[in-house]
Amino acid sequence: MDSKIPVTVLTGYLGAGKTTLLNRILTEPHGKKYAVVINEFGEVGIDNDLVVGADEEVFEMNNGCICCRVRGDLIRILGNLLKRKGKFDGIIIETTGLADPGPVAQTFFVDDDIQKGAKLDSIVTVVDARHLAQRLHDAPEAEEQVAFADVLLLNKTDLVTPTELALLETRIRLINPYAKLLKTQRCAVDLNEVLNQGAFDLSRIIERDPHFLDAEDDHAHHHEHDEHCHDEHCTHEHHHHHHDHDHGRHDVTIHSVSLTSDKPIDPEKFNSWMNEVIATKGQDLLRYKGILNMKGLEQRFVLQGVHMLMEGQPSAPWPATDKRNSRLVFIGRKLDEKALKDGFATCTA
Amino acid sequence: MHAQTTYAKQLALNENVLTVLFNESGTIAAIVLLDGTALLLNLESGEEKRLTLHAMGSPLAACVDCDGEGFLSTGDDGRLVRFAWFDEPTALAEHKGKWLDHVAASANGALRAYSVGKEVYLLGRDKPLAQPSSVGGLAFSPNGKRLAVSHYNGVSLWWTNARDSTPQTLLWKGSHLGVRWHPAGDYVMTSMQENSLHGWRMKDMGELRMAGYPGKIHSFEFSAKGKWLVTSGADQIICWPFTGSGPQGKPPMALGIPEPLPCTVVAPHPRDEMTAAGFASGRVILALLEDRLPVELLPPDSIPVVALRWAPDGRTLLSAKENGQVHLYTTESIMRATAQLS
Repeated sequence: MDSKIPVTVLTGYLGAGKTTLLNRILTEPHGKKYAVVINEFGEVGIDNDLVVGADEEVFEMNNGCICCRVRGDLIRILGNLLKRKGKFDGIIIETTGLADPGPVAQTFFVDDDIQKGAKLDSIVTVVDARHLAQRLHDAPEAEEQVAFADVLLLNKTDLVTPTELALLETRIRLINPYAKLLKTQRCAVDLNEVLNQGAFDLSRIIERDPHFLDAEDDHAHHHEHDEHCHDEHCTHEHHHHHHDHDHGRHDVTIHSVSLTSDKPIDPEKFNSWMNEVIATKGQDLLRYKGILNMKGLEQRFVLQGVHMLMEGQPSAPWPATDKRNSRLVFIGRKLDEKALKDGFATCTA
Repeated sequence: MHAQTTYAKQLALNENVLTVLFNESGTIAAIVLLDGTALLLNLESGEEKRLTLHAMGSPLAACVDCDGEGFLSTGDDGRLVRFAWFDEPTALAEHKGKWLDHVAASANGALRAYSVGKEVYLLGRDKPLAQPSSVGGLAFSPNGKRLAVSHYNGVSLWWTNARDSTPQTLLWKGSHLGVRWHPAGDYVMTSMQENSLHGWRMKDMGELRMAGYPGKIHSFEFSAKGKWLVTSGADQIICWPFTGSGPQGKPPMALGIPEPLPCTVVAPHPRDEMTAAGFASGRVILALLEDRLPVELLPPDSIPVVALRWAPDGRTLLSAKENGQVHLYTTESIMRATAQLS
């Protein structure tokens, strides 16, 4: 039995429709009670008796390690909320449009009390179909929010043409191949598709969707080079530094790399390679998820991480009918696809 | 023969407990509950009173008021409330829509302080003391002349009698949570997010760092005369020696047999060299501050102990578990039970 309180993180650029979604979650009769952590610059009043304003205070743990940036205010607020067991069914954290989702996710990995009492259910990103292309162009935060998403609400689809929408979808898939993509108008979506997803619990996702990480990512990936070269800011040049704002514009630098193998993986070789990747590239790795066929293990080994913080454990057994393919997806900046592919290939048993 | 219990009284409140407190004379005990109420026990008459402190919310912190008779609590309803056996609960301050995270009072300075996010208020002063980031904890120095405020990257020490003072800043990178003064005012100690303690020796600003804890240190208190800093967070009670040149380079003393689950709360005795401790397993023990086996006050039942407090005279002890089980022990009840064991 899992008595941990599920936490949904709601991100999205200003005006994308976050507040509309939040208000729907709080007012619709679903029989669940949520505590809500809103940012201090909230757009409208929220009618709920368990609302707390957060100030998005990020600090670095372990004496300044940048990959251990966590949200101090969340540690404090969640710590207090979690003492009240049984008073609500879930927690929703709204972040400002400018927030980097990394520290929010990392907070769930590093704090004792939060790990004991809560679990990150999913990161839900709301994007505005009409403005997303421009945001991806000029705001690094918008791109990060797409990259981090487990569930992506592509909202205001009525304001764009079908062709524009198709292009946007392709563009989103280049950044994030595995997020659940929901196309909406005025955030009209079945809340069961958004809340209680267990997206950070890979075992549960695989149970529901055995081919998670399988299908679409290859597809998206094959298109990557074409797509980006149409754009004048081609990502082949991986040396471009993301925080270089001198040009007054932002190049799309986040993309995904998907690795597969039909041979069993040697746990020791894999661990040592993965540790090396995390240690040297952790800062550029926004998220990664994997389902691995470890040698000698009858269960699927599932892992996921945010920057330098990784979790992995055996999950359900492989179904007898399935081929035991290992799959690992990285989402990040300046990913050296060839090096990752070669590295992963050395991990086979 | 019927086995003697270590406790004199047991209550099942069926509500999560924030903390337990005693007034200065030890006649009134307050059990502050997360439903916004408090149960007051009159230990002389045996009467009980249930008071509503935060009708629209939940308390976040509580302490004994500066007169030693009443109590203070702050809540997520934005209120600072005083309550006592003879007084109705009264709001002393209100900040609508804010959480009042911490509260502290000083008998010597007759001062009360509470924090709201990045601001600390001394009751009766109009201007708050602005902090660089959210406040982790508050503690008045033993003489009441200074207020220590912990936050990110260190502690600010404010003079409480100055109208417009600037604080002395003790710097150390990271997030500082709770803060405590040595009973003689010689050290300021903080617990940190990184499962460690940090400290400063006031006479020369020498720094102390105590790490190696497997979990967060939620509870750390100096023993009565300041010889030991008694701490939770490990599978035993960890005590750091503060005699002579201080704890640097000395190993801590670990009391008790290692438990399967960590120590959650400690309560050094207010007069004698001993301490009570509670564990996440539900076990409560009483240990002399020397290398001897502790006495068990409550056996484990897998319900974490969340609060533990001695009356100032050291003759009564209260323990509370997460689910509202409260036990009251007296010197006599403990002696009777332990005499029967030996």
